[in-house]
Amino acid sequence: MNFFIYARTMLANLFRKPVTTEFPLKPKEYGEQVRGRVRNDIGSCIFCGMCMRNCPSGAITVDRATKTWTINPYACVQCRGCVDTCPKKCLEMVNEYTEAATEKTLITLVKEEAPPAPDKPDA
Amino acid sequence: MGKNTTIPFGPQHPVLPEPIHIDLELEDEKVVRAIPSIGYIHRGLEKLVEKRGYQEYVYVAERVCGICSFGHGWGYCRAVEQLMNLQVPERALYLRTLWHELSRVHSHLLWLGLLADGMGFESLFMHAWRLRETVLDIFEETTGGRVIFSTCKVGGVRRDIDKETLDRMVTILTGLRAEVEEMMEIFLEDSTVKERLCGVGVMTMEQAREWGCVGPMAKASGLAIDYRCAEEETIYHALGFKPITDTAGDCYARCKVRLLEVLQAIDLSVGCCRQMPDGPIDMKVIGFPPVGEAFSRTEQPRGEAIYYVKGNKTKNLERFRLRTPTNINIPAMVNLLQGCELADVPMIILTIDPCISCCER
Amino acid sequence: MQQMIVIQPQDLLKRVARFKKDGCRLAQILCTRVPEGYELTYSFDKNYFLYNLRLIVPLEESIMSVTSQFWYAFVWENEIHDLVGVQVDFISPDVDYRGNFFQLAEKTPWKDLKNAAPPAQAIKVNLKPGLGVDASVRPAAKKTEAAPAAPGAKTPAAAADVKKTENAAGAGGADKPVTEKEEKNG
Repeated sequence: MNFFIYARTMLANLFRKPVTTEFPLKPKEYGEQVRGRVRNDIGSCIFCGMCMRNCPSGAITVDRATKTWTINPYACVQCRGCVDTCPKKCLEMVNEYTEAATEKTLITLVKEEAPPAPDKPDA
Repeated sequence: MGKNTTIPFGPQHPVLPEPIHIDLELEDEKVVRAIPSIGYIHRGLEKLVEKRGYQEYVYVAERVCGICSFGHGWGYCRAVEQLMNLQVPERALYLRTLWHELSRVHSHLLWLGLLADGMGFESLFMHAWRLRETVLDIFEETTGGRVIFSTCKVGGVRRDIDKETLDRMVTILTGLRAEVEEMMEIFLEDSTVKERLCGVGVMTMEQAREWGCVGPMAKASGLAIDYRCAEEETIYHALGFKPITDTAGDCYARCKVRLLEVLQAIDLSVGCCRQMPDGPIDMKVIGFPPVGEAFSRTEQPRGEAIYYVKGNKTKNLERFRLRTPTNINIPAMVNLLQGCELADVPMIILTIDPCISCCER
Repeated sequence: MQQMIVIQPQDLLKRVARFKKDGCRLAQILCTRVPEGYELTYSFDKNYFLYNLRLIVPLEESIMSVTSQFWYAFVWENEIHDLVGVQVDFISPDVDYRGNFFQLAEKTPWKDLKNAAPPAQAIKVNLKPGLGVDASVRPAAKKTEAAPAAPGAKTPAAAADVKKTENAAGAGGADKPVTEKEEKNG
């Protein structure tokens, strides 16, 4: 009779520490490598549009005329393709995820034009 | 003569979180005919290849299926590499094999959990998924994603694994192997599991051939179709791969084959970690795929998948086709359902390990 | 590990029967729309070697079903009928779905022959609503917003002006050179 074959595992589980974590109390720590969301250091962005052309989900919009870089974080699939193709390496992948929300929002970054005076590079 | 009834099964069903609908024609409790219909979630991913660059399409190909994602990315990359005549560095091949085998571990453990859940063995379900978590943690650490890795690219892989991590992985996997062995005893010896699976949905070797089965489904009936034995798969030859088969052909045999494959996949991954050669992980890919076409195949956790690409000398490919293992296993499932008891229907459907989302692309 | 054999449509059943006799299994059926009609490929596998039968069927013609030889081919025959629109005659009656295998919003969506769109155009297509993305709303709105300042848009002052409207419109997370702004779009 093999009715109680699971009993041994069950007993062992009784005296083991739980494998689940107390999530809301202890937030999960992500490793360095985790692909969470895309961040753009807009100061060094040249608005070449490589990320827009290489995005498989069409989440990024780059407008060179108005110097804006827009991402739809809810359409982004975190493939890291834009980070790899960026010629200025101003894009990076952060190891934290976009937080859940009740409404879909876009994130728009606008580059401020440097003042014409050459002595002060950027504010 | 008994009473005839038609019972709709799916697309929403407690045991089967897959969008397949089956009309079961019953005579009392016995199924006399099963008519499947799919197509609830057809996404047209094959068509999307015309709108994405061939490099970016890897990310789309991976998203065909959540569970066998790495294999789809690999299969697509391999087809494009064949088309462009690229020789991938050996270290990249080893890394791909490593991730692919680990995906197999995670896919089979997921399936074993679902099977236990399907027969009402909740604690065994949690046990299987707890073990799966170990593999997911390895993925998170080495690729940055838990399910979708996005590490494969045309010409190699995008991430390397350093020596210390590989050594640590060997330790973790050895520990996992011991735990899987313990769980295997429960699956194979427990009388509730045996009562539920033994002698249900028997398929002979002849029938398996006739119905065109692939993967663990065919292997459980003694038909050793496994693309990892093919000449092209040099890494598996170096690791000494032999397909696992069983002869019983029932649900129990399919469960057993998958359990043994988990152990085998862990061994292959450990072998990959140990034999990992040094060298580059990718190569520079210049230009666009030429005019031409290429077929490639990979052995997915569910069976053999076929990839086809057709290039037209532009950034976008002209045609991509993917024949997934579930696609070819559905006819066998329909045949197995005929003549079985209504209560056994969920078990039979589960043991082919259906992945309808992959099937429809 | 593959071989392509080009045949005429009328020879299909004969060749398929021979493959069956040789102990091959049918691996897949592929259909591509080409200018001449439909390009069909039947792949057979034996010892991990693929034999592909290639035939070209004109648009108005039909092909014979191979379900008499390989019963499980009905999955693909129904699929190519539903998606690309090839007429397949004499599918085994128990598995002939008559165009209801896939539940599609539009009949034979892949029938139109379209060459792959050039990349730039492809992106425009992506941004239209449909991917669950309302990204197209945003750039369009931006343009109208920037329109009053358009005459002197090149000068830094105008750019600063644009930035000011940005700040006025919504709460801005103020990094130094950056205005990070979240915008609702229902």
